[in-house]
Amino acid sequence: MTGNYFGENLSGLNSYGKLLNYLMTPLPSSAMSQPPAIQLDNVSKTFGRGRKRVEAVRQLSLEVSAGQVFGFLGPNGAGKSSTIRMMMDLIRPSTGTVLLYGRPVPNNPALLRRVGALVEGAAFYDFLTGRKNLEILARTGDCYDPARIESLLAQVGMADRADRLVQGYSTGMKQRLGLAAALLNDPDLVILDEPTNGLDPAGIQDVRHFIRNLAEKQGKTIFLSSHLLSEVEQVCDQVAIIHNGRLVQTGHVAELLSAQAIIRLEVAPADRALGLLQPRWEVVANGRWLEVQAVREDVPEMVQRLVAAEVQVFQVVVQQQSLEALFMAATAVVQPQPEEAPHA
Amino acid sequence: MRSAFAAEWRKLLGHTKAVSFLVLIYPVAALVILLLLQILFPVLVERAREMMREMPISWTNDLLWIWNAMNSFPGGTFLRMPFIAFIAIGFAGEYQWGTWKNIVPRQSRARLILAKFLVLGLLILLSLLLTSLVMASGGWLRAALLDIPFGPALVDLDLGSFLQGVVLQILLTFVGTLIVASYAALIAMYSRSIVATLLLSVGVGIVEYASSLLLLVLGQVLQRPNLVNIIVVTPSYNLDNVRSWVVNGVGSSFGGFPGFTAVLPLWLSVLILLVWLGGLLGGTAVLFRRQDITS
Repeated sequence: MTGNYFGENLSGLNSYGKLLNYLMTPLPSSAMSQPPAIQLDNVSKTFGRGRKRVEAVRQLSLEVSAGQVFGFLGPNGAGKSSTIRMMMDLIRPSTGTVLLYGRPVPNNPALLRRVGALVEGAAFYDFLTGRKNLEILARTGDCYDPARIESLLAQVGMADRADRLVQGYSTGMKQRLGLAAALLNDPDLVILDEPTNGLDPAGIQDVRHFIRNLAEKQGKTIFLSSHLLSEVEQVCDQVAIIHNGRLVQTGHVAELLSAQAIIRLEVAPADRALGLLQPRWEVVANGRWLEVQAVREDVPEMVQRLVAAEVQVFQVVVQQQSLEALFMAATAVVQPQPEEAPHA
Repeated sequence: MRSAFAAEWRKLLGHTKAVSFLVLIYPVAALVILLLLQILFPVLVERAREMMREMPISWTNDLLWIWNAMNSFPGGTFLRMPFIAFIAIGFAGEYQWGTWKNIVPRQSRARLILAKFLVLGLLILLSLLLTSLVMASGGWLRAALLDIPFGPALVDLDLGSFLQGVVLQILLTFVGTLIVASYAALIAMYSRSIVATLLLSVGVGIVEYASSLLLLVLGQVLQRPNLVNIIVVTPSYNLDNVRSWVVNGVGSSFGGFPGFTAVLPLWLSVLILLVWLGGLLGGTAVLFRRQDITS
């Protein structure tokens, strides 16, 4: 796909680089007093009554600063979409408040015109063309600009298919159109709920670049809900993990991952080294190798202890934890055993 | 509001199947009937030509025929059914297609629902207006082909009172359409399905009609024939009553229904219609304002 947003190569950016950029960039004075783009205070949402009562979101508090790419992770049914629906005033919280840019969301379409969203898969009027759908959405949002529609269609790679009826679109094409729809009003905040659903690997990569571009070149705040952990790890500055409606972990991606590092040490004698390190860290021995669960900053102390006790240190390898491991740990639940296949 | 209206207008007109089969069906059907029965048949068959020559043609009656029919009871109940289907698509479609989530955040919910009511109402009115014009033009064409008088002449007509009658009939049809649209919208909000909204809305119309028969039977069984007078609270009776006052200068006796005596004055019927309209529109708007848009 050439000639669109998606073509730019940002793959060189890793999480550390992004964190460093983030920390090194001085905040403008106005930003210091800027309210967060998203602020959830003790938000809960309950559906149904009596025996059908489901608590989808439980006392969720969260802050997303302007200009960030924020990942919102959780297994299916964790409450991600309900949270997003509350941010978009599609449903009302049972308790708590949802603020965008410091202002309450309910009955505030003017505020929500600063927000673009792709919620729970793209849905369009399938009896209309892609272009007509965008026109209608833009008119509803008081932001109709034919030139912008053309530009967005080109950016998402749909310019040549915009005059076909949506009923003939694939899921991926609808997702691309959904991304264009989310940006019709040139929003400050873009909320994307599983934006890569139905896309092929190349499409997924395109969307990743697209999202980074939106944040870095256009200064937009991105709230990205996904269960594709690699996607979040590659594009997000911060993440929050939600499970059973509760927030279980939040922080900068790089910090969370480094906090979960595994330090692998090749030492001799291993048993003496194990005795020296075990009181302080969780260590597993594997021949001459010790695997220590620690943070990167602990490495000098470890080496110092070992050397002081005349343990030989041959190699130190810091193995970054993946977001997947972090996610699995944070959302660990007893998985139901799959039923045995019936005997033939 | 203008942008919400423009968006709604383009969206509904874009549903060509629904517009063709449920809205334009009236002018198209009128055109076909006119061409076949009133023009082609008399042109080809001498006997039919003679019969037609004996039937007076009045463009004022032709113009008003469809409006009269729409506001009459029970004819209007059945004539409105294709429109109910169109209204069901307009409201329940947004739930079924999952498209409310795209538009609800960007506009006030009250404006969105009002725009929908207005566009649906106007499209239906336009369809009836076209039907009315087709019928009047058909009369003129028949008169020209068969060389029969086409009246009344404008000089013989009290144009002021005729136009007043036309406007009142159109207004009445608009009110009737909005009432039907309101209960279809309420049903759509609960059912979130086009088919369910269509069936239930048509069901409401039939129940309203059937209730008069039920009241008649009940009145006979309980030996209280006046029981049927309860029907005066329904929108359909009051639409018919206002139409009857406007067209005939007397209230509707409900087609001489046995036991029916409570002919309401014009002002009371207008008031009852306004209460229905306000209550249903208000109820729809309040419910929609508080509704969770979930998929």
